[in-house]
Amino acid sequence: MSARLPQPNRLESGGIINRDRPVIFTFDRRVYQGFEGDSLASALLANGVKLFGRSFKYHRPRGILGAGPEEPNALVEVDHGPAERDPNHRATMLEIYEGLETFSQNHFGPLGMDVMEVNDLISRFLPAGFYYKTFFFGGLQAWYRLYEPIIRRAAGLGRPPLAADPHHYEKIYTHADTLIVGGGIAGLTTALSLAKAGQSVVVCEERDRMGGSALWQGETFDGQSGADYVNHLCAEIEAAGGRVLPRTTVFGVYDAGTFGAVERCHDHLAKADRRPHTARMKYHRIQARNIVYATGAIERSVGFKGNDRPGVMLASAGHTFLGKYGVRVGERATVFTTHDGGYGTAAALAQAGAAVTVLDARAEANVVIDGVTVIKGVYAKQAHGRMGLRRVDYDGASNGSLDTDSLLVAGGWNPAVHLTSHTTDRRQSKPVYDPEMLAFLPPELVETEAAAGSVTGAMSTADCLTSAQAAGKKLGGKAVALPTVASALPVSKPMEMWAVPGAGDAAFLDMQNDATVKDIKLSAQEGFKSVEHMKRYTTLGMATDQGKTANVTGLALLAAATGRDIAQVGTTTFRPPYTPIPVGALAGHHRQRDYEPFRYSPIHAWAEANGATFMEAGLWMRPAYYTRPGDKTWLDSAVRETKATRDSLGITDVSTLGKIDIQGPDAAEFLNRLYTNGWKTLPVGKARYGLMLREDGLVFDDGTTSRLADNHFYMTTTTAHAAGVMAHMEFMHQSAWPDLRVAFGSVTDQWGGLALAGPQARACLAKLFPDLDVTNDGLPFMGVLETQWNGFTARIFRISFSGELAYEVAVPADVFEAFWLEALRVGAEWDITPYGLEALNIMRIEKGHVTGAELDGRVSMDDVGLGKMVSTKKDFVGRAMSQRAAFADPDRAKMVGLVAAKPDDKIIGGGILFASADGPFDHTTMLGYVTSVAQYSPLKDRSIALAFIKNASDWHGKTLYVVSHVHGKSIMEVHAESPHFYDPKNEKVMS
Amino acid sequence: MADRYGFWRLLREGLRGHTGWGPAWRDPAPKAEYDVIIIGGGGHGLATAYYLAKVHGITNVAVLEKGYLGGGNVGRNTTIVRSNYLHTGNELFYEKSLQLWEGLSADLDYNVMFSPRSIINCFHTDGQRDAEARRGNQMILHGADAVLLDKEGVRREAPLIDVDNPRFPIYGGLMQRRAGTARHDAVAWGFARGADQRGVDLIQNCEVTGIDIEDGRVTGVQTSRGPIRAKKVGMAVAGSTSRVGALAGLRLPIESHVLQAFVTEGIKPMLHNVITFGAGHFYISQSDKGGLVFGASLDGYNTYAQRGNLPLIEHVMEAGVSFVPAMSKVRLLRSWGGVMDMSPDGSPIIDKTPIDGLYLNAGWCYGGFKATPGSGWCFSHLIADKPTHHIEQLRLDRFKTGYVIDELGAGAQHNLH
Amino acid sequence: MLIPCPHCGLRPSEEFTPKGLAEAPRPVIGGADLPEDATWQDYLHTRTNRAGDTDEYFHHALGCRSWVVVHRNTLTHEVYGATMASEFWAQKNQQPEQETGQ
Repeated sequence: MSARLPQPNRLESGGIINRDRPVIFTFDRRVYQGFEGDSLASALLANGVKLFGRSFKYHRPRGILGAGPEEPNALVEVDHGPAERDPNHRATMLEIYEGLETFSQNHFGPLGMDVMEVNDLISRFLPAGFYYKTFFFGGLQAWYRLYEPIIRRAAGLGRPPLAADPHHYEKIYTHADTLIVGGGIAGLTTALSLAKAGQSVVVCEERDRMGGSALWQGETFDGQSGADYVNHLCAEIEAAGGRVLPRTTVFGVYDAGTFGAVERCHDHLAKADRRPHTARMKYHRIQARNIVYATGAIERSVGFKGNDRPGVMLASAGHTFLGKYGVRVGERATVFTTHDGGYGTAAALAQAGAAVTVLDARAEANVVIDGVTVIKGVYAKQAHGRMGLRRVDYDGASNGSLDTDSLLVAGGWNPAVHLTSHTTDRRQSKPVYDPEMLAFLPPELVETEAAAGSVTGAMSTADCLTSAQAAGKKLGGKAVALPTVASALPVSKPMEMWAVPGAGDAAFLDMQNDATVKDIKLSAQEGFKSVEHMKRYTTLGMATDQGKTANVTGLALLAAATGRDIAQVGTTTFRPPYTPIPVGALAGHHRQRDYEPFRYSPIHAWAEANGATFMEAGLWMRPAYYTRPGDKTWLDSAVRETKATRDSLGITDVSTLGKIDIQGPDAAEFLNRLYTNGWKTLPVGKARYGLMLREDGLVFDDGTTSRLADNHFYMTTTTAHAAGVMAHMEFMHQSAWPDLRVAFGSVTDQWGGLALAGPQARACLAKLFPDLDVTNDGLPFMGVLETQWNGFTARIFRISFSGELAYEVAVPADVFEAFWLEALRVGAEWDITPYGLEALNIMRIEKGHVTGAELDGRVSMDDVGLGKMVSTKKDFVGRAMSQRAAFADPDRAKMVGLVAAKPDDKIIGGGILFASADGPFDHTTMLGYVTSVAQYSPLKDRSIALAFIKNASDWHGKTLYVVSHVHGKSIMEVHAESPHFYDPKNEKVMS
Repeated sequence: MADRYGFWRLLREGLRGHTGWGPAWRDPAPKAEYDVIIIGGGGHGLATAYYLAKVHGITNVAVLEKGYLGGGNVGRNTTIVRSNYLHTGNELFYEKSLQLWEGLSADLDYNVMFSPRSIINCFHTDGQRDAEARRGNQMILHGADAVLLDKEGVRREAPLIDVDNPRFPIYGGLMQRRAGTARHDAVAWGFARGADQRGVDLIQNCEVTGIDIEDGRVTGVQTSRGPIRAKKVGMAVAGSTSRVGALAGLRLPIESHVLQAFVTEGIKPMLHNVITFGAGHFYISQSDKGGLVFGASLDGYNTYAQRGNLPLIEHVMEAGVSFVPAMSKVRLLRSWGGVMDMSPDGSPIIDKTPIDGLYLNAGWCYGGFKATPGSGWCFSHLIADKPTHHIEQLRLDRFKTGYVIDELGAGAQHNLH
Repeated sequence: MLIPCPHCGLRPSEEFTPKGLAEAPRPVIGGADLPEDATWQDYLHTRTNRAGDTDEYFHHALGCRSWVVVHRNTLTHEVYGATMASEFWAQKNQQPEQETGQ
């Protein structure tokens, strides 16, 4: 523990900080000491620091305005290295801990000598919207290369983190009968009322501890201090089964009783005190039947010249620093108030030994406080002191000047109605302006909502407690005995004074964005009279504090400038989040590697151990090729695998294909309606290739489906569309044909599958199933057998994607790896070679088989040469739409095969086809495009490709040019032919 | 032209306390009759009025806006401007639009802050690379620009992108250098001011409650501020197209879906380009004010409420921190939603309707903002009976004929585009 | 949003995949099947797209795999109920025509 260092503005006693735990921290590399329980703001104020940062636009020196989440000025970086840099922390919300390092931000040069302050000197030339009116000179390039880069560097606030966030974040589903937002006295009282009635309640409080203003106002509750009474309430709520969550921001209200909240778990702890493997933040998705808005009220300032000078702050802020932290913000304090409330702060400061003068805007005011000078009927006209307040001029009934080091402004209260309007459309009402209270109050709430405390417009603590009791009662709570409040705080409705007479420039409303009283007037002058126009034109309320202290004042001034009343002007729409929350908190654990799950085949581990390089196929990881000694590139591997398969025997994993088991008396009829071709005549023990259209007539998916029994089919889909096909089948069955007696389910994960391909496939299969007749007669092309392998069901399909004699064998996924290894052992005799997607790709292109590259959702059956696969005798999905005119257009591009003219050329995927190498190349002369490329085809001893081209068959035997401008305008000669390069008569697959 | 903007004017006004700036536009009462009424004072409607006046000399025009000018999707989007489309039907149109963007600030005498900071669409597989190469090639063949970047190229352009993403590594990206961002409100205001200066009446708080049709021909509209006659009426009300169309008895191929968008607190520059993460349908850029502006896909359900829900929000944040890991600590400042006119093929409609004199500009899906000048320019040509080839394929009847323009190949389901 | 799946009860919306408005059934087999026909256009493309009460298809993909038609309000996101898609059109046909003024 370090020695006590002097803290000039810290009182000897008072506050709820832990004076036994001094804390060392730094700000701009200077070392300071505060106490456990301090915010950065209170600790620095205790140390006499006044200057915290620079404003966004004019780079004016700024101090502290508030004491809580509404703070617009004092934003700092917490910086413990590039990955641990955390910009734009509100100093009022940042709790200090041992070793905390913080920095002021948004200045060029030291905080006290920011060169960008030149903007303030020329601010008369930079009014609202100035950037819309200039920076054209030199045209687009001048804007982009000259003006904009300067603006971008000057804008922004803190520096960004530059590396991945090392922390982790949790997501939690929290359920409750009632969510109470705000853990002040009102929220806690409502919560207790509900908890005692047996409801499960959660109370979320954004600040570091429960209690709200009870922690600093100096009132007593049944003789207890505010802090003690709050502890007592919390204990009772918890005893009744409720939860209280400090440091938890309810950031948004969503549909059906869903609320978003973020709990800060680490940011107040020194590194050593953070429990390992725990989350920095927890994001609660809260599901609650009822909500209580006990969100309090936020004080507002008044527009006068220099109201942003360091040392000018909200009265409630000065009071909070005094009551909660034991920090006296000034020795010669001035309170500028429009209502009785300012006197409470004045009294507290006077009691703490400050010399206090009250400037009361009201001529008629009758609060008397010992030792406090009151000047009635005057307003603060101008505050002086660039780096720290020195003097304030007042005017009105009398005028004069006061030497002062702190000016506390009590301009009235804005109830924090933000959350009540996140789902405004639900009750078709927005917050309502109350001309008596000079504030927006919550709209009429529905039966599952209630409001409690100062958000309702209640001013005294006693009234807040009464409103809490009413809120509890509305939502079914039990009556709770209210404490006797001993209060010396006068309250009254405020006098209407949004800005002082004559206020214009340098009278700030939105302190961070530097929107002034004058900007509002200019906005109205230029016709931006809608509240949304004004907000957007002046940027008022668009800073990190979202205008919590500024918005209502801004629209009151807009109303005055346009001759309307405030209710007519209305508010802008509040949007979530209520206060800013880290992006990472909402992302939780689903990031980077865990962004999406991986799907693995049952033999993934084997493939990994045997040299496979994988490629993504949706969520699946599929072997692309297996590297063997001697393979220098992936193409070497793929070509070796292709040749081995074509010459002898290859094996590949097809487990990722979608598999759907279909059963029922109408199963055949169902398939008949899903596929373009006919299925009723398919015999048991046979497979058939099927093409599915979408309802718009374009090709959806293809695959083979086998009839295992009269009423039992086994469908395969492509890997990519497995989920989509399943959902499509369910949609068609349930929405269009519910009468069909058919049931089906995905069995993709239940079966593992391999393909044996090549001239020796049959010999290998015979050895795997010695008791089975696998001759061409026993298992002809498209034949299907169901048998046993070591007591497990095995399904053998004689189908081929590679163009070779081939069989696909499916066994239960649990035993698939064993079966795969057995196939490798048995096949060793023929040098069985595992092949991956790259080899498969070469073989299927040689064969002219289509995959997702061709079936891209824009092609018709005819386009891919499968137009004859239509049974015209029946209805099927897509039939009607495939009769549209566009489908018969002779200009439609259809599939063609391409062979590189030169043996070393590699055709470019995505290249465009032209008839001439000399151009012109434009969209009117382009004929088609390349979809799939085999960089090397052993069959053709060069590169081949599949492509689409207009009048495809006319081009067979002719020369074309593949042009790719994005590959350095490469132009390559190719020869077109039928896409069925390999074994066009299917002799091999039938052999 | 009166009331020119510019550096010297700003200087002069600064010296005399900005007392000389007049209203950016008048606030006229509606006249009894106009040659053309444009329903919808959003970006497209204002641009249409501007080009009707500027290009065609048709100035007896009113723009009727239910709320305030620019209050729809032009004021609630992620401000991306690009012309990186595959199909001729789209690319001819969007490239025309991009060319208009390039001269727009000077043309409007209003800085719309179009900033050609480029867009990069990242891809993850060989197949996606080939598809992007084809798209890039076709863009170039339509007069646009495109560059195919490899993995290192993406890393060079955008060092904070996790190209080595452990789940979906990035193979490369298709880059359009001339693409970028603009200041959304300025576009609406610039067109509004330009149209107003040329005599167009911009009438706010004027809701159209009926469309008058006699013998199959439009004769005017009923509004909350009384009836107004017109020879021609153009609808530019994306987000409300079905509702306004119903006033003329039209049943249109549109569903309404919410697209959420997000902006963080301002921070010093960390991203230069507009970048998209294919695996998450995620896009991001950084505004001049320093906020990261980003979004992803639709919530998916039909809605007219300008807000979304948490499942999509979580998805977007997950994609964001996966793609740009350093943004995890950056704080989300504001989220909002815009109502999209979703067409069955994801492409827009600029066409005549079956009712004489009634013109339709709709179905913008995600693409409305970048289309603003092009849409106004082309729609004004259509209304002025000067057809232009840029919108030859953006026809209303294409769902009957089958000449759909499906960039994603997702088929006839509105919420998939 | 919460969706009352007729099979599973009240479930969070993220278990469901929305497909679009259920305004017209698929034209029946043997009926009109020309693409220009309004029945097909209404099924696939055109929508009344009411701002207010609508019926919309949702697939309980991460649940019971039922397709349900959710009755909800597109202005307020209020959900009134849901019907199995397999029963929806039959029920609708039995009801007398209502709200034809839309």
